[in-house]
Amino acid sequence: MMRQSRFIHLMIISTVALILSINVGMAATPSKVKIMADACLTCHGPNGMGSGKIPELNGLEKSDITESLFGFKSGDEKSTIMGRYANALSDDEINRLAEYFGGLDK
Amino acid sequence: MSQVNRREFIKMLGAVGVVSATSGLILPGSVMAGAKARVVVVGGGFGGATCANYLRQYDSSLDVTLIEPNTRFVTCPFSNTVLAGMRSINFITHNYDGLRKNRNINVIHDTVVSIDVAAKKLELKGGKILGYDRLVVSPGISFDWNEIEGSSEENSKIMPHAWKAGAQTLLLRKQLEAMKDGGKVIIASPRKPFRAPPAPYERASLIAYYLKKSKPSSKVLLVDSSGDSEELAMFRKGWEKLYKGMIEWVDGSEQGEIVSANVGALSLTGRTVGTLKGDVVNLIPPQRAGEIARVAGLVNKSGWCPVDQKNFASRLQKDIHVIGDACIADPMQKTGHSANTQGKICAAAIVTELNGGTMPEVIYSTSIYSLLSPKYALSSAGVYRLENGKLKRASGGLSDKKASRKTRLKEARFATGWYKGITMDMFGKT
Repeated sequence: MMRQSRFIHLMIISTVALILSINVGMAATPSKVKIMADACLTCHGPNGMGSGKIPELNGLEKSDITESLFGFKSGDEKSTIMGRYANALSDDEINRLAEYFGGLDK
Repeated sequence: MSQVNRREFIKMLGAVGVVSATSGLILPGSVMAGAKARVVVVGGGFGGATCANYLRQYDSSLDVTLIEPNTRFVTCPFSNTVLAGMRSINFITHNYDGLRKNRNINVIHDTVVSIDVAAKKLELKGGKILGYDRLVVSPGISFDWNEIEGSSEENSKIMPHAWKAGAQTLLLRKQLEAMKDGGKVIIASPRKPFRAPPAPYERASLIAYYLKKSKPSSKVLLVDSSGDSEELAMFRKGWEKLYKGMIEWVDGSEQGEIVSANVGALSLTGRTVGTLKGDVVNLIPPQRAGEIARVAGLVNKSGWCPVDQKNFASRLQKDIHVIGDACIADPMQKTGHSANTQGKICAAAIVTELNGGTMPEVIYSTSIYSLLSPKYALSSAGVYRLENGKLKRASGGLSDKKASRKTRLKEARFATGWYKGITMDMFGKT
């Protein structure tokens, strides 16, 4: 009987610890793409909704964003300032940012 | 069978650090501390407001307090448009309602008088004592009145600096309005490093814009501590097109530096530039980190705050981070956009550290738009990455030198978009 009770105690403690660790992993540390995407909001506004004449990013097709950013990076697509930013991004970062903003609701 | 009763169950939850009398399970703010971590942010400008906002976005269980003396924040970006009469002071004035209501940040309007680094406590002028687990200091700049003889806070009521926006902006605007046609406005920029390096050029441009419309025989004389540069050449090209013969540029770098001011005579004197007399004198004094940074022992000999550029942790005091104009983030310029970026990265790093994670490699981006007129703007952009713990420029530069007027107009529109975007971003507006 005592042994069974200790086992239950242990089970509860480890279950709680597991729930905790999952919650912590999900909620508490911002990912690379989240931090990088948040840099875009300075000009593109909250949630990437656009600001004045600066276009929106949220709700765009992922392919539209990658096409623009790769275009800015290569210089094939003319820009005022985006070429100077896109130049610094790796191809992987461009794909991940496009996926992030493509997945946001308008 | 029920050998584990309710009391025992709660005791066990306590053993792993999570007890809630009502709902059974809650997530602690800081897993390491087993309680809500308290982060206090001092200074509600571009760095501090952004940092407080993003701390709560990245970890909604954090207890975040923002301390800022003013109930309203007047931005330096776009303050030159107020000098030019293009915008009212209301356009550049913001409140903290968004941070309170949308982000649940405890905003206290008070001044920090001292920081007890060892006890991790700070004292407010109103008498309140606040403890913290992490402290973020974003105090902006203070002026060094000892560098230029005859300059002082008192004398800035006669020769305004208007380099902290608000009353000083309105004072300089009033002086410009009162000046007779044919008068001369002197702008003297300070020794580097200083807040918003291209802003004296924008100021010269927009004052000329106002004078051309209202007092066309008047002139602007810019005593430029930065000396000649590629960026200056782009402004001069714009001045030639927009304000031919109205803006005179004088090299105020090194030997040309202004060394004394005479408020009675409204004149400035430098070794090589001699004595310059104006009708309105905008003397921008040399700068250093905001006062509380010095009081808390966060500054080095340079007057600015050395930090680890990875997380903006002070190199001089434990558990304190310094962001914005006050910190040494070279080669990032001291601008509102830089402070905003630093606020976000600092917030992400603090949340990551408190939760035992590893901060990913990210980019640090910045820009500064300068208006030469309502329809003509230039921009400077920079993207940086950490290399061996030190920021290195990965990309950036100035606007296209040969761009058409249409592009300059587009940049002017983007400047306004940028302003609206960054002020919504920092103040938690949705």
